[in-house]
Amino acid sequence: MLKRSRPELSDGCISDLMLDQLRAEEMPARAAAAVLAHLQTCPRCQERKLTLDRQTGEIAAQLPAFVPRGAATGRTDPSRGRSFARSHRGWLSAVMVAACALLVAWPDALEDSARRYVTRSKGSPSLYFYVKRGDHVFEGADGQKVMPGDQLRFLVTPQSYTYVAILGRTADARTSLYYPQRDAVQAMDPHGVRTPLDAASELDDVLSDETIYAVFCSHPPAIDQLQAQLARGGGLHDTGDCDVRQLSLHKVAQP
Amino acid sequence: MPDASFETLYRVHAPSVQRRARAMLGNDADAWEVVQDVFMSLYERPGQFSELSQLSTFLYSVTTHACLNRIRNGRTRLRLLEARAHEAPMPAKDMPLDPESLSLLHDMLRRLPEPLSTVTLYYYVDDLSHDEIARLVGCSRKHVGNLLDRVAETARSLEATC
Repeated sequence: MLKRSRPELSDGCISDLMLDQLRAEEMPARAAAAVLAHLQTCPRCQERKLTLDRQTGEIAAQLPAFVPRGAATGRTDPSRGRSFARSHRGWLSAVMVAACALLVAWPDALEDSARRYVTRSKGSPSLYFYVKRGDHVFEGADGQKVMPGDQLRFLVTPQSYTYVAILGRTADARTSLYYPQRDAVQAMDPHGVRTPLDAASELDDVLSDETIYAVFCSHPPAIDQLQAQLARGGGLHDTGDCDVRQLSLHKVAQP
Repeated sequence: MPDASFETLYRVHAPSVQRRARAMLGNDADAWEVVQDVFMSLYERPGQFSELSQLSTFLYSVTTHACLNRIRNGRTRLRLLEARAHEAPMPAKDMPLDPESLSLLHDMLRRLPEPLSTVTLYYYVDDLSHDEIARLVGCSRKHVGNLLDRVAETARSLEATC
């Protein structure tokens, strides 16, 4: 019997095509807003988006650079019919060798890499963000290219924590406080659903890489101390009983 | 070498092309070859995209046809048999259809003419709505409903003969 692969979908649910368009920044702002609103309320679509994000990340990690046929040798068509999987087998081997070397020689680098990975397993707090650029809204990722004038809105899954502060430090040592933007941090209901924070920030004209830190605490965090620690350099890794997630932004000039 | 904009386009869209091709074909090797074919075609003939407003919808269409061609010419069938003999199966959680359902679907797709086969993949593998399929195929929503009725009828007749 022929059956749809996801028979549980209802009429209002979001298709993979729409999620692909959202990720590719191809969705008009109004449609993107409707999709994001639906995602806030539909556990099935939240789960589907997480699954697609995971699969996309896994595939992207294996994706070789695009090389047109004939580009490497100057011949017109040297690799027609050659399997892509076979053609990047050597590349994968090189990555595995490099990973092994890293494991042996640079354990600190691996630990730092793991700490910088934004999306954690179920039960850990997580940080997400969306970018509004003109009429388009799209979800950002670690290492996201952003531009002056982009608006950022952060979302968190606080899990067991009730407070969060979001700060940034640029490569030229400027610090910013993204959240809270009012006088005091607001308590959140601890849960595992993405919660948009009631603040958006517009990026200035200074082109610089920036590291964003989300500090999750069970008590109101001391913002002044966090800013001072960030200003001294070295990041925000030692925050007592708070949990820190971080990601990086790469600000480039508008084309 | 491709310019930076094409490389960016490839980085953004290739993962979803690979994911869909794997779902339709049932194995990674064929899916990677579809990725190569789809982007090579776009690189060599960028004008084929000019009349469509969104690259995602264009790639959905091109990927679907590339996969259908592979299913019809039997390469995927051979690869699936080889994979079953020598390789670990694809993780079930990443495959929308189980291997048996996928095999039955491939048998049916080989018998269906266009646009029934395309509509079948959009509806049963991609889970797109009638409206989305209508936009991708370029027909009315009602016509999509009629096409899916014919697909269901074909499926029933095939089951009856098995």
